[in-house]
Amino acid sequence: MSETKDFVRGGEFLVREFSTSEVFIPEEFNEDQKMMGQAAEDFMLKEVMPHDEKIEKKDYELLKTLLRKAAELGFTGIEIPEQYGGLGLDKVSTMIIGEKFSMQSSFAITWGVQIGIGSLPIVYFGNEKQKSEYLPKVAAAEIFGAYALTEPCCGSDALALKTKAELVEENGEKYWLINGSKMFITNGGFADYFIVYARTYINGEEKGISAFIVPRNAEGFEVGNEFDKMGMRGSSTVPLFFENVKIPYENLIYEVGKGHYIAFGILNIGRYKLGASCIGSSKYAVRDAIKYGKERTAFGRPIVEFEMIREKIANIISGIYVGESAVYRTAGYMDKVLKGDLSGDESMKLIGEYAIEHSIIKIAGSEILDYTVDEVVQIYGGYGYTEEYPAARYYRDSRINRIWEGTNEINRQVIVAMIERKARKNQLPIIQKALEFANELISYMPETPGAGFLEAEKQMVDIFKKVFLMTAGLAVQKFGENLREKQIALESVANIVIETYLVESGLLRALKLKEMGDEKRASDAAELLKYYMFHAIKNVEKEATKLIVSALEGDEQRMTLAALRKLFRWYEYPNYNDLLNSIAQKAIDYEGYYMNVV
Amino acid sequence: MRILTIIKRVPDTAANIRILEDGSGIDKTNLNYVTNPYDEYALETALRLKEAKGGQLEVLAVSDNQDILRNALAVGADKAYMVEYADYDKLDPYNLSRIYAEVIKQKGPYDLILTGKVTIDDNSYAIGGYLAAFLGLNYVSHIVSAALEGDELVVEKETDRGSETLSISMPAILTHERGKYEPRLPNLRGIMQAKRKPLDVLKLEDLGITVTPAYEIVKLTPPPKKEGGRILESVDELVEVLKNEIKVI
Ligand SMILES: Cc1cc2nc3c(=O)[nH]c(=O)nc-3n(C[C@H](O)[C@H](O)[C@H](O)COP(=O)(O)OP(=O)(O)OC[C@H]3O[C@@H](n4cnc5c(N)ncnc54)[C@H](O)[C@@H]3O)c2cc1C
Repeated sequence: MSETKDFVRGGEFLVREFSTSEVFIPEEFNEDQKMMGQAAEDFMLKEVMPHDEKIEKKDYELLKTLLRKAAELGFTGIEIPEQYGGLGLDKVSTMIIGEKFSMQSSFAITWGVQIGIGSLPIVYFGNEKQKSEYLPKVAAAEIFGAYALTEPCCGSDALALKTKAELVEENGEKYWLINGSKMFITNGGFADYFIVYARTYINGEEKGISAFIVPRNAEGFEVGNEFDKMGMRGSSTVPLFFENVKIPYENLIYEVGKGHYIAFGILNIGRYKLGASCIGSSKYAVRDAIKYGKERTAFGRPIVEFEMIREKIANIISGIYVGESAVYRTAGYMDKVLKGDLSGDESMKLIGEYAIEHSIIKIAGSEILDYTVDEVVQIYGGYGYTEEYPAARYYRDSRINRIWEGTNEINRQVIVAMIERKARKNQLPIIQKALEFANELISYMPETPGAGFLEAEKQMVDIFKKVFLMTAGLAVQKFGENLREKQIALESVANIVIETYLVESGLLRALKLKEMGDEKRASDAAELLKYYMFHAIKNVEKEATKLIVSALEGDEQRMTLAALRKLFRWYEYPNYNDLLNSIAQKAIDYEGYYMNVV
Repeated sequence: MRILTIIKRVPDTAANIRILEDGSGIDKTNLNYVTNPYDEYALETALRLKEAKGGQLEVLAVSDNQDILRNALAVGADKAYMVEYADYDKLDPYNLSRIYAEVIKQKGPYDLILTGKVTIDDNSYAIGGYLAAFLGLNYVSHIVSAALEGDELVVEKETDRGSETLSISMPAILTHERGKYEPRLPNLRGIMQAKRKPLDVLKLEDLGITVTPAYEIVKLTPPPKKEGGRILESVDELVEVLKNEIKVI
């Protein structure tokens, strides 16, 4: 039976059934949220898109002017509390606005750094003086910030960073002396201040990593040349160099040795926002491809009439559907626990509760987008390979999303590590459940589901959870201490977790729409879920098989594989071809993602 | 000064309008709606007048959805009225104007009434004229700007041969052409404050009028599909096509 709880734990979806009342869906956006989404879209269309070409040539002054225009309308203050000149918006609104801003990727990331990693360390961890000094100016886009964690030596392994900050006390003056360098710093070309992470030394003793505010005009600080990038070419990405850079003692953020905590907390926030913006980009890209495909003819017919093109469209639309459902479900959890209280250590902990979900939507969002832009180029054919059409640009701009905010490889490991930690701390009863199911596995027989609305899919979500328990249990049992090194096993478990969250989010949204009495939308949603389910089942089966044949041999392997197959055998697939044509036709008629709310 | 701006909810100009298979109407599934663009110019002028001289700015729509009124409140209107009417998009301009006039009689008097020169969904230019007649107001159509000089209302109007500057005494009704200035975008703070502003929902019964639509939409037909262009080899061929195929020369 499903139960309703006030506080949903991160990762809890893996160990119990969820009810529709526990998830937030886009159809529940309130009036303000819809209006803000519309306002963001209008701003992009009227103020930013007319400068698209010029932005791509990288023009700092233009970027700053546009950020100031965004500030006039409030868009740079959305994550800053009201007492510091911001609006302190909820997460759902932030994500909706993020989706809309993705219309122009270079500007979107420039804005994203200003309101995100470039200022949130101060929002969450700054002291009163730092907050009142910086945040009102950030909200007004009078000053611009950047976030400098990555170094030439270390990106994924950021905590191995080498930049040093030494505490010096002389003549009664206390200051930090910074030496080292940073790599790939967004907005660095024009930022006024930098949040710099450095290994800290006090009296020659290492004290861990800390975060500092370094003003651009500090002596010994130098900003390097812009990188010539594959995409997001209008955004600024530079290296930084520090040679005996002296900054006041008060420029330390939070506490000495707590830099890693700040860095990861802030990256977490970056991850869910990235997920939302990737879903937004996917919507724009598929819209353009469909419009093009309706006009372009081959063999006497518009190319959108060809089934191989229609399948691509259906794949993209169903991917966006589950991705979007997962994004706003996660936003809903955060808004519920944060209750409007944005900044501070406590809210950082509450946000961190959903680190598993954040990594999931970062990975899913960036991979749905990469699939989308790849097929969008294909739909444009040869023209997609030229810069005359938007497809090539989408393709180039998308690629970074699998790399930054923790590469998808790193995020997959984060998912498993977080689950393991929650299991160890007894926050999630994964170990008990896995043991229980391991005993049941050989004799377990899925029931034949009823014929009601999405009953089979509901049961399938439950099966995914069982496959998770089975594979996670098997991985721990076989690889034990060595599990960290068994990356392919970890990856399989992570992929099963990701699919489970996506299909469950899509399922609960469709069920909730039905409860809300919106039959038309509920049936559109159900169709998208069923179509996506086909691919998810194949993926989960593949990942589980990979793990089983890596862990087991002989009879044991054969029996376990048979047990796995049994878990799926009862499911009667709806006609794949009919589903794909129905979905594609709706998207073609609508010219895009037709489940959009704003 | 009390100003009223009348706005209409219309399908997004950028939306792909799909006509229902039986031609009885448009497919409204997931259709995005906006404020009629010319009404947005009217609202912008109203906001500028209010900002310059102070006063109260109210907005009125006949609709089944409050969204465009909330937007108007978000950009700076003080109060909104929505006359609830489900099939507002099928209502003819005569009856629509009767409803507007009734609200104006009951909620007014207003010094100035502004609205768009045309509603883009039904391509109707009739509202300004009807209201001027029903209410006995001075009326200038197709204005591009308006300003108060002292107590005098000075409007600029576009004609085929240039522009006219007119001085008009109030109470008056003005209909707006594409303006000299772009309508402002709502800011987020305005959106958050909008819900604290009054929005009165009125029913036809409350107004004491009944509406018998003047016409019924029999059938909608999409515009003919654009044919792809064709590249001709020579001027001779062009002349040949114009003469014998298209038969224009
Ligand atoms: C345009 C752009 C803007 C950026 N902006 C910023 C910014 O503003 N601030 C900032 O601090 N950083 C920024 N970055 C840096 C970005 O976050 C890093 O590039 C990213 O974290 C990856 O680090 P790396 O490039 O050193 O790759 P590496 O860490 O060298 O990784 C290379 C490959 O090895 C894989 N890999 C590494 N470790 C493992 C492992 N344990 N298991 C499996 N695979 C592994 C990675 O997944 C990746 O595929 C930006 C980068 C770019 C390109």
